[in-house]
Amino acid sequence: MTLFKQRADKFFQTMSRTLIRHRFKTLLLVFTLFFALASNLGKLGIDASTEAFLHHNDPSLLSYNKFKHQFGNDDLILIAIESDQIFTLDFFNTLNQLHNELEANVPYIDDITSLINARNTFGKDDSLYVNDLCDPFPTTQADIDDIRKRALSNPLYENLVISGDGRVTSIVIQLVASPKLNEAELLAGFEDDTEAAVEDQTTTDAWLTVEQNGEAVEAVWAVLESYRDKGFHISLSGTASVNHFIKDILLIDTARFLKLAYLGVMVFLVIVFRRVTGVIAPILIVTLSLISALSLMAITGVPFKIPTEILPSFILAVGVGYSVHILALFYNRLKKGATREDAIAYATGHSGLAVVLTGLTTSAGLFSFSGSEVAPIAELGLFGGAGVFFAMIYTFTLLPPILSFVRLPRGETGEARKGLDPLLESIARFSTTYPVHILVVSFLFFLGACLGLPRLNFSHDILRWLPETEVLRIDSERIDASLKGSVNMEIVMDTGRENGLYDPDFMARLDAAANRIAALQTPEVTAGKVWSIADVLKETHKALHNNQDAFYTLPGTRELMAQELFLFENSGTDDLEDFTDSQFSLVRVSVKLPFIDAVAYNGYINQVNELLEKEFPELSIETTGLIMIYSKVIAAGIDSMGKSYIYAFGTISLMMILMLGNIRIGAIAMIPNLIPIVLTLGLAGWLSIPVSLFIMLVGNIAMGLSVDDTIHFMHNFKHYFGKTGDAAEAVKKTLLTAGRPMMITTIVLTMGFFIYLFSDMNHLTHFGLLTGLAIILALVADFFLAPALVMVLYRKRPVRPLSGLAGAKAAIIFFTLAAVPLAYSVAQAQTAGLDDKEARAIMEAVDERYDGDDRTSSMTMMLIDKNNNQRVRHLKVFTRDEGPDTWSAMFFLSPVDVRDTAFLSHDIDKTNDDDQWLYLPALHKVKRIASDDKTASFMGSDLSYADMTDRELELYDFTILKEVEVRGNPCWVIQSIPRTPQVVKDFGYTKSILFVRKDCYVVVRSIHFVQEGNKLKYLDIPKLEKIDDIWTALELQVTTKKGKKTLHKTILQYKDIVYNQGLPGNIFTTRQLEKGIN
Amino acid sequence: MNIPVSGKSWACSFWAHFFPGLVIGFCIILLAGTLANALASAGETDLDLLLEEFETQDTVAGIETPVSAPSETPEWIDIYGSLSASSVIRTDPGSRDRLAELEAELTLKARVDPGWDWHFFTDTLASHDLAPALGDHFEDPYRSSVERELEVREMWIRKSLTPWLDLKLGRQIVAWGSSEVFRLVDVVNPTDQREFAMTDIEDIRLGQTMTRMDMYTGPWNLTLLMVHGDRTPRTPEQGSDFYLWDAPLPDLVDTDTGLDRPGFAGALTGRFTGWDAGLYLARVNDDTPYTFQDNQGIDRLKYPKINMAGLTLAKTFGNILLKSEMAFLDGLKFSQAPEREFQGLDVLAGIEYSGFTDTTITLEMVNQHIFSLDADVANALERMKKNHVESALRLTRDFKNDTIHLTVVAGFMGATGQLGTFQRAEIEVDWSDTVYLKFGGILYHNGDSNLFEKIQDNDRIFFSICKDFSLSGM
Repeated sequence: MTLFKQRADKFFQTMSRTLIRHRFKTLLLVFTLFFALASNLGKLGIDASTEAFLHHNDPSLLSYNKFKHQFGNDDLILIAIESDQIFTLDFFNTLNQLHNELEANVPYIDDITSLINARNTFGKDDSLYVNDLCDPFPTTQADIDDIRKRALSNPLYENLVISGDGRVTSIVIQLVASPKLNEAELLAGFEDDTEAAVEDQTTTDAWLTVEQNGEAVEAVWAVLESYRDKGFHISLSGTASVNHFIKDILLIDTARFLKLAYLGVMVFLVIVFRRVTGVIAPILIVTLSLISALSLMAITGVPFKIPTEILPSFILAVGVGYSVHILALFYNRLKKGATREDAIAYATGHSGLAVVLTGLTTSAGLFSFSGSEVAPIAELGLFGGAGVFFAMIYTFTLLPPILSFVRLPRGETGEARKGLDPLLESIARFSTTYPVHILVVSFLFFLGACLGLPRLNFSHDILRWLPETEVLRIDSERIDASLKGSVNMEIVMDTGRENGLYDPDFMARLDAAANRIAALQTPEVTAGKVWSIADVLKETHKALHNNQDAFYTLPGTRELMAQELFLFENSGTDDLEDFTDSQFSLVRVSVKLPFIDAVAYNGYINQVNELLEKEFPELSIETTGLIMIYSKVIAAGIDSMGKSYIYAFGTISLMMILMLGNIRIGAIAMIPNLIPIVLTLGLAGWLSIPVSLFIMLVGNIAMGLSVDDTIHFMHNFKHYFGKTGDAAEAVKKTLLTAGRPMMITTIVLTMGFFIYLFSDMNHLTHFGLLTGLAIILALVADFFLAPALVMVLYRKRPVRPLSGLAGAKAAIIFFTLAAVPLAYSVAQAQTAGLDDKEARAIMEAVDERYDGDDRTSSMTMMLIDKNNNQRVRHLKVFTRDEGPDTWSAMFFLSPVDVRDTAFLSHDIDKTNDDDQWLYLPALHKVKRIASDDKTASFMGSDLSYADMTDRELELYDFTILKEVEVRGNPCWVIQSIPRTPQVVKDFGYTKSILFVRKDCYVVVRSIHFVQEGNKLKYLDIPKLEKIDDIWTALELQVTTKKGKKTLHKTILQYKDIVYNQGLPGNIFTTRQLEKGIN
Repeated sequence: MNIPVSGKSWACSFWAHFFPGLVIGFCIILLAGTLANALASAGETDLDLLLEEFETQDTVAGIETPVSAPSETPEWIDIYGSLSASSVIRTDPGSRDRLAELEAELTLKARVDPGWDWHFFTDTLASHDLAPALGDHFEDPYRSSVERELEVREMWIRKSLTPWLDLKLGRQIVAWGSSEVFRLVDVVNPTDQREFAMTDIEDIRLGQTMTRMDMYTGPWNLTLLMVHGDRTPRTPEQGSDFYLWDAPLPDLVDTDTGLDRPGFAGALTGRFTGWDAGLYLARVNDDTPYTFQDNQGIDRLKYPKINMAGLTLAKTFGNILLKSEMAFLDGLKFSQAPEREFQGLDVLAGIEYSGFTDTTITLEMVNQHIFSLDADVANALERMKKNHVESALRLTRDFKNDTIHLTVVAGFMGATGQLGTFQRAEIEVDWSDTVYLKFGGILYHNGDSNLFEKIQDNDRIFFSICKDFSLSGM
């Protein structure tokens, strides 16, 4: 990984230098591509409708569209007029005037219903009449009294056109479902294939658009304005109105956030850099990124929706961070006297990899939304990720050329380093001095937050997004209280046969079911009204029986039912199509409910579904309407969020592990990312902040962003720890270099999210508050928790024999769960020691001992497991030194299953990776092996690949522990400690104890402390002889133990050893691997 | 739509169990590992105690150190092989016979090294499957194809003519490319396609009679091949679960290769520090046959001769091996347009990660592009796509000092697996140096492709036991 980082740094340096050399061409190319992309921006649409929350192929949406096609729009504009004088001549005159004005001025009206034209069904002279309630229009108070009597006694009117107490009346405006559809229907009489055309339109974008809906609502609002001072109170609500006004607020909010974000970012950049380029360049880059992302939305036909309103300020806040990291280093380098090009190359080289990694993790956090069933959330993930990606690309391609134009006087950067350095140093000192305290406190916070998580409540309450003082919210709540609801749940039952309704038994069950649905209730939901074709039948039946109340019942026979519906249909009204289809096979049941939190509907909907399934097991029943869309949105949101949290966590963890090259360290590095999110969500639970779709995003967004700081921290810590081997010093240097841009980006990001506190919408203020808080907590975690974790992982301790205290320590560690990595530190406790000159000199003598230029031997490898089962392998082994490089080739001769397997290793000058190839006879080809990890077992033995290669003395500290005799030969016992974690990782040993014979400088015994699994590996050379005047091990025993328990043992016996025979180079080729050695 | 009874209780349940569970589970995983460290560390004794272990090593834990290794004497002739018994069970309850295979197999290999740098090698396989005799629904020709089998897999003689020139004659296998799963430039040998995805790529190549000449200089190796054999791929016989057609296939027309009409191939490969590269050219038979009508209007089956030009590149970055292959193919033919020849470009990208101890994870993705596949032809070529994407994920891990080997392979046809997927997992246990047990299973998942529609119910589990032997010293 270190090599990879070096190569990456070099790549970014070379790239920036190349871009600077071709800066005009680069700028031309980038801007050309940008303008090609941006030319599509004008096509970007806006859609704040409820349906836009679901993908166009979502089953719930398809079901809803099918309903709209059959029965029309259920997205209503609801006007409620409250007065104590409703049943007066003056009021009816005014109401009539308002009704007519609305009908005349509001576009896209499909139907308008009020007391003026409410259906009045009555019988006279054995005939059925279906007229408007005010037909003829009343002219005297007596007429009004008669209307009052009829209105209040008609069950169908209650809560639809008049409240139960007669104080509130309503005007219900139903807009057309599809303007194009209506045009097509008009042409139905002329064209044979109109039905097909109509069908086709329902599957395309023929529905009433948000703009058309807005036109209608605005027209209603305008008409109502002139009636507000007439002595009664007018309220406006209905989903159509709510959606329209929320769209307006969305547009205002988006513009406001964007301005605030720009302003805030610019002010901050001015304060931090005090340079024109320090402000202009980042702003330009994020602006281009934002426009590119929005253009991509336009190109792909994705409109701007409610949740995507956070996109602009998000991209702005996140994107600017990339420039800040590079600019901070650029100015710093410039201050130290570097040329512009060198400073740019240094800055991009040093931060390039980190910027790419942070870009990828942020994108991964966002892309985790892309599978969401909630369409705008998925789009936010896709295009937010794309925006971040654009920011990354523009940073790399535009920043170097732009900076190359800038003429900055050296030594005057305006940086406030001195102001921050003492603070950062203090933080480093504190976090490295009290790591255990920090871990314990962090754990206690974590525990407290976990207790808050079960208190979280999901919510999708569009109306309550608005502030309590907002007229729309007040009106809606007022209408819900007086008319018992303002949104509908629709139930469509399919009898599956023509004239299926003409069934007295079915109709009786339908009527009974409607009554039972009306009686259902949950703590939050009670139906204001339930109505269906059964009510029409009862109304008709009563009218045909001299309007006697006793006959407000269902007809008793199939024939009578068919006859009465026929009469109703032929009375001049088209109301029947609101209740059934032309075949009389479908039944629509409408349930009026209050406009509340979508989550609260769930219990009620489940009760309704259970009731219907029980009462009508033979029928196909669909529950639909806007309420179902709301419910589906929140259900899908929760489901998708759960998955995306797992995906984001898994992906980012994997990136961390791969980047740090160690599962445990990578996983531990996730702790500073995870804890802030748990704390934030726990806090939301304790503060009873409802978890809306937006709040669900907090975790993923915060994880994607906060991981950036952790990457910068770990990236720099590894770098400095590799140089110094001192964790505390490495933390200090890390905070002094990376800490500053981490603070800056955190402030910018936090500002980017805190601007949502200025929103008029409650859910956005919560979202901004929590996300900003999570990012601040992430910085705190990276400044305190991450150093504490690395301190217990990497800090040095003096060597001392372990005693019973160690056990006590382990017990303490166990109970202080927060200090999880402390346990690891115990394993590391003995891995430190000062380098001893005498010990080093001995080891140099060992290293320099002549062991021949080349060597051939036959080797027998015995593998013995803990049950004493033995496996024996025979190999032919060749080695040859070639300058600083060493070649070795091994050919397996037996047993049969490994016969002809061959292994070739080229141990290249010790600073480089080795080349390794393996020939497997079954594969019939030579396979290259990626060889950075040398800790793997060599062919099932107790030896690792690391044991097969020489080690560089500079990577270890050596100390003489004592002197002993081994088989009568005096030996030094030397402790070898890897200087850096990277060496531990590469070779797999945290420490080694070596027994060096004094007479010949041969390591005749060694004990290796294996990093994985706390195992010990004992190497012993029981047979050592001089062959060709070279000390040679004829037998090597390697035993792997855990505590006292032997896990496995390997015995290597060598014979036919020949040195310096001038082995030809062609033995060490892949050709020889294929051919074998026979 | 299934909506929970109460949003609040649902929410509580979700957060109370899921998210904290995730977090706490994460901590427990960390804790388990670190606690093990801590306890083990706590159990460490001091240096003297550690040193004492050397004195007791020979007797601890009942392990007895062998006095000496068995003798190993080079022989000029070496005969060895294996005996195995294997069984394959269909898992689909609707299968006519659950037992798909109950086979005894003998593999016999002989290596003769008479001296003067001459080498002779033969690898022969004989098997007998009892499943057809025990089952009720094994029908010819499938029955006879599996009941008994005798196959000379390899038989070649090799001679190094000079230090830089080798010659190899006879039936042999030539494996090209760096891919673990896909064959792009690896076009020389025909393949055994009888059981899709049941075996790894190493077991599907069929020996072909060839003359092979290798020249070496520095890191370079130039291989020239003359293909004399006329072997064609082994495809499923009618009656097999993997037979994809509804009717018997037409008679096969002789291939365009043979002793008198050899195929040719050549490769220039280089192995360098940190990377390998290869350039490949071949004119050989394609592995995919097509049908056409001969002069008499009779349907025929033929393997077309194709030209291939390919490139491979493999590069290591630490524990990561990046692999890429590209093969340009000319002369492709399809049954739906037998009169036309097509050109194709296959591109592969792969990554192999070996940073986890004793574990290798490989992800490979290939895109097969067919040129000139205009709309008319695409319609005619049912389900033929201009671009066809396949990918595979492979994980291997060794446990217990290489005595247990786990292999998991997942294949995805189509960019998102929409054309079908399969997963195969197997565990091989080395019971001893010469006895191995294997157990595994394979699952096929349907997709929008003819292949997976046919094989979707072919899920299987398999067992085998194998005993190696050596007759050295004859």
